Amino acid sequence: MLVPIRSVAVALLFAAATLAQAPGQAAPAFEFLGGLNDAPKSFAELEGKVVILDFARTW
Amino acid sequence: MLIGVSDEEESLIQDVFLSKLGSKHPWVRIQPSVDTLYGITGFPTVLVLDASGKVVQQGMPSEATLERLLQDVSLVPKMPDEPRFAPLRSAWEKTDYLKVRDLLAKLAADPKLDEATKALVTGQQEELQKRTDRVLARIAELGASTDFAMADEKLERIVATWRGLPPADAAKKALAGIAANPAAKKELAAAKSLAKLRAQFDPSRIAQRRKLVEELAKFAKKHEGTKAAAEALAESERLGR
Repeated sequence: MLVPIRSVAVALLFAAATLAQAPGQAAPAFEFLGGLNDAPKSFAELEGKVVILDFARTW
Repeated sequence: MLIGVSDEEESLIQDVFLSKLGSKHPWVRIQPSVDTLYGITGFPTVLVLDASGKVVQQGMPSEATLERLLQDVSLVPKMPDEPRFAPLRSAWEKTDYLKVRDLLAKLAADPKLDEATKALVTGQQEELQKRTDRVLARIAELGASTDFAMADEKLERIVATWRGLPPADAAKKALAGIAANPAAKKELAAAKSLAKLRAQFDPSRIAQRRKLVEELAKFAKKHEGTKAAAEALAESERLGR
């Protein structure tokens, strides 16, 4: 997929300041330490699916 | 799928997100370093990943975005790119579930089967069972629906896709139930003749459109009380404007 250069630049700029992973980049794999509510066991299980990751904290 | 991600204790996630906030979706515990890996600096932060594993956007996706992303999701289970799996892959691609079941059974019957293939076969059999359960639940819903024309069409499609398997029989039974219901019979007949009526006229031509408006109004009166009549009336008013 082609991503306009300007949007990448903007995304990178924001990434440095506040933003999360810049759109268009492959989401890096990470270890699943455990899960609740029938959670997948590993990052590999997400492959091929549309996933919404909600980074959240209780505080 | 929506997944909550937190580096906190399981008991805390349970108490706050599941118990207090009533969260029904899965939660995954992570190491704090994952936040850095993803450049997360504030909470909550939502990231959307497409089927190829790319981050496509930050923030909750719209229905339209989700729909577009879901089109790229393959319904074919993962399997090695080997010639012996080609028929199986093709059967999944065509949603020929009868063939899928038979090919899996054939593979499973091989006494010399290696562990990896055995696991693959079991996994796919479970996937087929999952889809069977899902479609059976859907058939029950359709059988109870009062939108008879819609239910009839969907059930017919299920019969075709699942031919030779339990869902096809269940769908046939549901179809028979609809056929035996007088209200449904009336509704289906109306839907059929409405489709026929529509096919006779080309609304992009003024004279035909005028005639169609008239015919639709007549139809609505004749089939009063049916969903097709309400549809015809609305269409007649829209085209007549």
